[in-house]
Amino acid sequence: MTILNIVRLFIHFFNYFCMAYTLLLSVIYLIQLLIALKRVRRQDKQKISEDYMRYADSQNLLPISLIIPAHNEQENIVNNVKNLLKLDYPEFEVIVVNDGSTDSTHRNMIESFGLYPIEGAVKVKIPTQEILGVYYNADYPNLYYIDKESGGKSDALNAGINLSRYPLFACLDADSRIERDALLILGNEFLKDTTTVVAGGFVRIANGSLIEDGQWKRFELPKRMVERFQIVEYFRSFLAGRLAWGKALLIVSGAFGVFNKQVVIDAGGYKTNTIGEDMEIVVRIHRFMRTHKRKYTVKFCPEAICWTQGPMSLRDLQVQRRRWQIGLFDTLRAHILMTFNPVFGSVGLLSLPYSWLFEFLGAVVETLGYFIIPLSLLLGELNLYFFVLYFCMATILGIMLSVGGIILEQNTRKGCMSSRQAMKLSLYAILENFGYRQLITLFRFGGVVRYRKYKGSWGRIQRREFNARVERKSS
Amino acid sequence: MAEFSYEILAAILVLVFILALCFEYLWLYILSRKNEETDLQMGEINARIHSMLESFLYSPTPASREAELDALFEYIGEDAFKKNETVVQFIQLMRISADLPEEKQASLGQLYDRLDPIPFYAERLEKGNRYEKSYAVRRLADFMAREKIGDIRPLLEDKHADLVYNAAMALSELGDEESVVTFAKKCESNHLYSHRVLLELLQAYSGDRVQMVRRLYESCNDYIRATAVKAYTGDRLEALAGLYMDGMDSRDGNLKIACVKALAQFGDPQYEHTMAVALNDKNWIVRLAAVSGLEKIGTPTALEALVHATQDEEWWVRSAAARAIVQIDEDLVYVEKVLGGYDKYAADAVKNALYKQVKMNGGALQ
Repeated sequence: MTILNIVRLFIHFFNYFCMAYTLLLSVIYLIQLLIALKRVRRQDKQKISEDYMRYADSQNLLPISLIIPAHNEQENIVNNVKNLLKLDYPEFEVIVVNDGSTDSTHRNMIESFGLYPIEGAVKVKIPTQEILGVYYNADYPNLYYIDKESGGKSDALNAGINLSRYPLFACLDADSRIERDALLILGNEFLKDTTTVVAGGFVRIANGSLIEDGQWKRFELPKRMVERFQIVEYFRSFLAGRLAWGKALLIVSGAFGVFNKQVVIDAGGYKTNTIGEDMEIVVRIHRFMRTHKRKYTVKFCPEAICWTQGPMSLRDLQVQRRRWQIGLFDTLRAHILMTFNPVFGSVGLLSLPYSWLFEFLGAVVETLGYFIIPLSLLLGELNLYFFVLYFCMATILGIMLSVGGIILEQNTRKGCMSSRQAMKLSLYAILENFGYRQLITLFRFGGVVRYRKYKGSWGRIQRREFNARVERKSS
Repeated sequence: MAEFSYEILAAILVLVFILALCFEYLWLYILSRKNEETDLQMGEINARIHSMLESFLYSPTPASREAELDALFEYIGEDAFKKNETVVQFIQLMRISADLPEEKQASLGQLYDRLDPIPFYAERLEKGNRYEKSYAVRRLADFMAREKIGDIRPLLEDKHADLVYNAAMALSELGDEESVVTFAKKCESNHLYSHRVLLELLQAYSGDRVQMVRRLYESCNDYIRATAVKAYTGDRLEALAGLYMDGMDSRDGNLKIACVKALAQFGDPQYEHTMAVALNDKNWIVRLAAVSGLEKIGTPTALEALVHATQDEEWWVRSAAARAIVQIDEDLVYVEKVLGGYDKYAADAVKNALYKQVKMNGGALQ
């Protein structure tokens, strides 16, 4: 058998594998979508009596510490903190942790809030890099600011946990905005179900939306195509995907999640040498709770909204997706012993194998497919007719998933988008199959290939002032 | 032939997918249109009811008020959504009714008579699904429909946790002692409902709270006892002082803490000795609660005890005691005593409290 024959044989089998793989993945996504739709319908019915289940004015809601790690966030940090201080929640504190910023983040915080250094003991429950100072101003009694040596986002979160006073904490991104009632929704989950240890909110792309004082006002489609594609993608991947996994959810977005502080401390706090700390902490909590045979629940609440700025350029999108892929690989690698391990129940037998096979390897298989399938067409190893049919089927399935994501969104947040906007957005569900999705796969593949090089960096993405026009007007 | 069949099959499959996609697009279109229309319609209904209610309330004469009311009920008709929205707005008006002139309050009474919400929600309680029932019981509680207690009680046995919770809350608001005690007893070992949910339930109770605590104290375990004491701490129920003193001897840490905190709320010098004894408890949270009690008492002997507490091994207790001394020691006698003392940690705690006090007052100590 010559080398050429071996190559031909490999290509021949790879083609079938690749086709079966992508079709299987689409079917899994479709199942996820249907489960998510069912859950959203149930939540919709629950809304009838929901108002009474919320403790908007009650002192019985568990107090929450909001921790905002900030690294070179001079554009957004001050406005974000001002918005957070206006949140609807009976008792909370905001802890901003400056992780060795080299821009004017530190100066902006000190000057804008008139902060001064305070002395006092900080209980070090999780070791962190050196704390340079803790700042406070009595005019903002629930705001604390920590200035520390650079140690990464996880280290900053750990420093915030050490200073926090309350039994729950929320991790928030400095460049995101949470809706005023979002904290109430998540805080409520800890009251309704005593086994809740993590509750995640839904992160939505803010590009195009008008958000005033943390309250969504109006939606308009953003100007750039890359931003529109991301909106569709968030509905498909994050809304459907996270709703479907239920208690076996492996990730709560780093931009907005509420945690039981003691459980996080017991599990060892955030892992510092990873950039996928949001996924890693949730997987570690699963591991810790199941190993210690403790009852627990991880929840995802699509109604608790956090607005985030999606990358506005392909360059930034590449950085973001590469980071996500590295974070995913890092976490899966660190917890490899949980995979296919029945001790960890649905997490070990479903979520983790799925993440390995489709989230991580998907980028590799699909990228190889982009090169090998055209090659096999050239070599005559693939029946052109079947290839065209397969391509049509895969594309239609992809569109169905994206349109399904928009339908899901229409069920979750009624009246947010006009019918015209929804239909217009659904056009991007078609267009994204011709370039955008392939590009995203290549970016993810880049994360797999350059894992060692980019592991452990903050990964700067260019931001503009959040909702600049609106905030200037309101100030 | 076989290959031909596969090709046809694959082509049919693609066609089926295209059809499914078309159906999905149609679904999206109908759904988004419906959402848009519903959103608009709901907004309109809300605004219309709001303006009609305003017209009714601000009508100058009884005859015009009657006419406005007729117009409102003509608009509502048999529409359950509109009726519910009117009730919601009526409840909001009731919340501010104390600030309204007597004439307007009388108008609200007139509106209530016409709305007659109790039979409306009683019907939903009878015929609705579990979510509608949950909603109906709470509305019935809003209108203090005590005659419906018998209809709500069986819901406590339902399997659906949200419905049971709402029924329990409604019964508590309606002051049904028996049901609240039964529900609390169920929660003794079943931790489906959190401690704070129980607090909320007990705080919503509209009956005799002293009697409620006594019954729970007699019939439940320490967990529920502690919750009951904690729920009414802010009420300063003097009649329960003996029960709190009794609870301080408990082996259960939570009950002890709840009782110390409840006694501390009284700020009564007769409990000074009890607080001073609690300062030596092995549980630092008990000691912290005692510091808070002594701060409220504020006598010279209480200050002496607080000085002792600044030497506590736990930072939180030291810090709270120092803060209390700085707050109440106007002549700074005890502050100087700690600062000049041999205990560096105590002096540091007081220095820190002074520093914070000065910063908070913009440079002045008091």
